Amino acid sequence: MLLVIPLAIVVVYSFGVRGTDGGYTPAFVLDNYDRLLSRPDPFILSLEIAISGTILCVLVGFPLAYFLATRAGKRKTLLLVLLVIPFWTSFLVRTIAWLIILGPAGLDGFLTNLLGRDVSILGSPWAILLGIVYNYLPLMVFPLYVTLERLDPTLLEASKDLGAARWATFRQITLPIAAPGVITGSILVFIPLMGEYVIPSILGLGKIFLIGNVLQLDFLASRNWPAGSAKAVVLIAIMLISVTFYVWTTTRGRAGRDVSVL
Amino acid sequence: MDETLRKYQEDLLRAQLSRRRFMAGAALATVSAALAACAPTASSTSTPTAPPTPAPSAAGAGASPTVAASEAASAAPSYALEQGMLLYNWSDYFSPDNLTKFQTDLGVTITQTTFASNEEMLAKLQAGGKGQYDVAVPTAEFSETLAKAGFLQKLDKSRLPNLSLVNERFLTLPFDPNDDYIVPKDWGTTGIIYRGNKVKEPVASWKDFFDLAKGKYSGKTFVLDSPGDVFVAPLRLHGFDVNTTDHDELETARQELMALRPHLQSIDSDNYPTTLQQEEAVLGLAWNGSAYVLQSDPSGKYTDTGWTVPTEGTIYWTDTWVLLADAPNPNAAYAFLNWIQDPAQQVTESLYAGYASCNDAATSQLPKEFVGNPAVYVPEELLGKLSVATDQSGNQQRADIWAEFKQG
Amino acid sequence: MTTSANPDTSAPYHEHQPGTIVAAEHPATLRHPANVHPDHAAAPDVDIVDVTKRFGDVTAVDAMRLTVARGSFSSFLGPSGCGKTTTLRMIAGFEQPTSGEIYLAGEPVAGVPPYRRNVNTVFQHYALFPHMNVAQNVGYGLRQRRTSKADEARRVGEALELVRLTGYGRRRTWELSGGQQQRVALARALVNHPAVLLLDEPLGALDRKLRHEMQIELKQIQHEVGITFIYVTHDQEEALTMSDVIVVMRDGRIQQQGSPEALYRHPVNRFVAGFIGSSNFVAGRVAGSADDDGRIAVSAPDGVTVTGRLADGERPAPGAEVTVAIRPEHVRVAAGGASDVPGWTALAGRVTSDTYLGDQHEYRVAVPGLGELVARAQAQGGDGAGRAFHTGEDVVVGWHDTAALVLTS
Ligand SMILES: Nc1ncnc2c1ncn2[C@@H]1O[C@H](COP(=O)(O)OP(=O)(O)OP(=O)(O)O)[C@@H](O)[C@H]1O
Ligand SMILES: [Mg+2]
Repeated sequence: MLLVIPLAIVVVYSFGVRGTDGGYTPAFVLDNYDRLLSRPDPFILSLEIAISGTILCVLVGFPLAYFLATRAGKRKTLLLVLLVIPFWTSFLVRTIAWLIILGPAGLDGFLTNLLGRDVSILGSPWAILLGIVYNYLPLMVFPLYVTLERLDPTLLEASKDLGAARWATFRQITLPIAAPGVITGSILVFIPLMGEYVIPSILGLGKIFLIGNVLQLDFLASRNWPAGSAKAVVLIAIMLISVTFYVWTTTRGRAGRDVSVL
Repeated sequence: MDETLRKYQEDLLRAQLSRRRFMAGAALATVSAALAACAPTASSTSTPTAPPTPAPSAAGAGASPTVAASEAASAAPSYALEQGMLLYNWSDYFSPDNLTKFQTDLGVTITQTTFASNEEMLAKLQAGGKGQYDVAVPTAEFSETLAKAGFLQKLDKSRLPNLSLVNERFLTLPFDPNDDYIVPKDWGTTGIIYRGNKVKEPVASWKDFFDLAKGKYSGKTFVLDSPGDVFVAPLRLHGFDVNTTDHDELETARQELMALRPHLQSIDSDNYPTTLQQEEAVLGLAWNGSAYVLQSDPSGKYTDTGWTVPTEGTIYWTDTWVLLADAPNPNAAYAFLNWIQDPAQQVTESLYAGYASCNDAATSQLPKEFVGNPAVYVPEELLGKLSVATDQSGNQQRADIWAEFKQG
Repeated sequence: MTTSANPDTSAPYHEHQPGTIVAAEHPATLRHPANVHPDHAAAPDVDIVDVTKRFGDVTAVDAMRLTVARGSFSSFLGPSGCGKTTTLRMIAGFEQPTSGEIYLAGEPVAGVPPYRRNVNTVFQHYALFPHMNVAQNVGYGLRQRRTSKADEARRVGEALELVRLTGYGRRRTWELSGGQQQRVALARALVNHPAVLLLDEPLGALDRKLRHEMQIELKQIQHEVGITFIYVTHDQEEALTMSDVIVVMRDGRIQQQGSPEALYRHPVNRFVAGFIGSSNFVAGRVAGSADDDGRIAVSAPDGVTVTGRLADGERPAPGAEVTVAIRPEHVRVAAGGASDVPGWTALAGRVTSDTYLGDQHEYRVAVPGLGELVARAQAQGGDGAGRAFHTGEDVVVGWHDTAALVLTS
């Protein structure tokens, strides 16, 4: 109930019109959806960034979690704490820190000097992906760590014993057993990523416009709740569809012969 | 430079990051829209509520406002002041000296709580904050929202004789046509900021801004992440009303903005002072407070920062003191609202925050460099070119243009 | 590995221990071509030459020499920590010897990874893959060799039949009982027709009854498939009932290897004698010289003299410290006073406890100078000692001299 009621309100609002002082006036119009369809770019860009951000988090997070779970030994606790420490500061401060690291006094300036031409990672999608990986990595690493930690090492020996080399063992044993962790981590990363607007605002120098930014404008700046609601409905639909699809494709193979999430 | 001025500038810098002008834009775009939206279109025609000059010198100069208050009160019932007063404010937006002085003058201790955006303040009030504070500091436009939501008390002006010191420009704003709710705090403008050691060309107008941004300073120019401010540039460039809803005029503005877009280094309301310091951008559409902050940097490295109030005209905003409904200490609050308008306090307040006072008597007492700095005070000849932006957030065409502009 | 065995290999071959059974006929089902190469029939499957394994300061396996004949069922027996698992892991390829060399089918395998050794392991806790059903688990090794689907299905079916799990292919592994999981692990290994199957305490997690059933079954299966089994256990009974060869280990060193009977009858030292079956031990010094049969007198404390037989080749000097080991079932109990019977050691003592074990009586008899000796006698008949004795009764205990073993270590 607690989940359904706000959702239902959003759906109802999405067919309304803006009141004169903002907010919502009941109506039944499709304008909000109409307008949205003619302007799909932020949705597409958001999807692209959320998907590539999630993939990047998996690519960076998996080896990290694997290392932590299997190789880190006594340093494990220390490393886990180090991974979390930045998150004791505020999201905003962390992201602004990257602004400095990447900025003219940082990487951009260094590369500009090095290559002798203007390089600006800041303000590009790369900066945003970087900010995403940095901010969302723990959400990926922790579920992965938990599944990999529980992975019995004798299973890997059994696999090798039965003729599977390292990569074959990784593909057939480690990965499928870690799949629930990958799925959980991906969902934990993907869903908030679809609504992310702070990172694009800051590291995108305000020039990267995602659904999160659109919603923020609609709800807070224009106070046009119906327009925002329509976009929220589409956003939720996109998330539901992609998450369902993802979970389906990654678990479907598990009953089959060759198990793999790749 | 004047000693007091230097001291205040140090305060100012210490507070730079948390200073409300930046955080305001940072937190939510609405706020910036609100900032832009602060002024009376009616002001030019309305009759002055009070002549600015004579009264203040009498009341000012250290003459105790308590006296003024009690004199005013002598005709009416006298009010027993409470021990304390609860102020709900942006961070670093109230001079600690004034806080001490209020205690000395009236024996009332001010306890301050801070917020980061108008919306945050509203949310707090809605979530049981009503009756928790006496005085708050919304942007003028936002006070209308607060009043409509029932969070403000109508002011009893007989208890605020010092209101007569406020310049008419800041009264009868469209958000509060009868001055029922607001006591002006300070004010500022949206205009052009630039680094003088890089930008040698004259920067006097919006036309200069567009030409330079698309020409020599392409990739080195920013604008605020705030539609209410950004629309002003193309509209005034073509001589249109800043509050226009005319389709063709907005379309013209759209074309100007889209032509500007590829040349922008950033669209940003939060970090642009740093951007300017690092010369990542050297030209921008900004709020005046940041220019003053850069100029006053104790390192002295950014004294070349220039500020232009464009000749085509621009908008100005006002921040206000308001008396909250169910204020637990109404008498202390009234005493404060009256006391703070005293020019002595106004001078302290202006220097602390780095913004122009709404009080002409105070202006005349402020250091010449301060008043003569266009980054603080709008030059006399351009006062007539200022207008107040009203809330245009409901305009779909503007919303669409802004979305397109942001998307690039 | 097996198929490429090189007849000219430099690997030294060791003499087979007595009691080793060479591979029987292979059943048609799980026949592996490599196992029936006639010219390699005599080559040992596993040859461990002077292998030492150290983990830091710990020497887990110390200068081990061992040859395991093709098709045999060999057991490593020894207390916890004696290096059994380590040896197995070196054969499987999970550990590399610190020094020495291991040969599989005559080939040195140093540096050959586990997945390229023709050896499979049944892990103590089965290590079944939780994300695969029974058939997928069993077929895992075949899939690594790119066996066709049809072949895989057929061979998995055969393997499941072998372990009597036909029809369980689609079951999830965690739905199975411990014994069934054990069999899946066995089928998963056997289906690959390894030259050698390594089993590390495979029955350790099962209860006594199931354990016993599985012992019999395992032995049967080994007979059927003719694959060399190397079996780790610290249960001597298990080792005795199943093995062709038992290798007794202690502190990383092999104490003795041989058939169960040889180990039982001719333990080379006190440790083996105590580990295989139970024994009474009497410490003393050599009191004379041995006769032609190896009989020798040993003087125990309190002026008691006992006689025993020396192991082949042992010739301790007079006065040397030795231990005399006598199996309880070789200790006779009789009524009356001590009397000299040639060829027998007889000592007076008193029964301190008598326990009826159903088919046997177990007596504890206190003998001055020797402490308590344990004797076990058939409850009925036998050699005239049919009568039961009671606690407190004065008796004579004794043994035939050849039944007592004089151990020099
Ligand atoms: N990876 C390792 N690192 C350090 N020491 C080890 C390692 N593996 C085994 N050891 C040590 O080597 C010795 C032999 O261990 P091993 O596991 O071979 O004994 P085991 O005979 O199998 O004992 P159990 O019957 O308890 O299984 C032990 O002292 C053990 O602590
Ligand atoms: Mg072991």
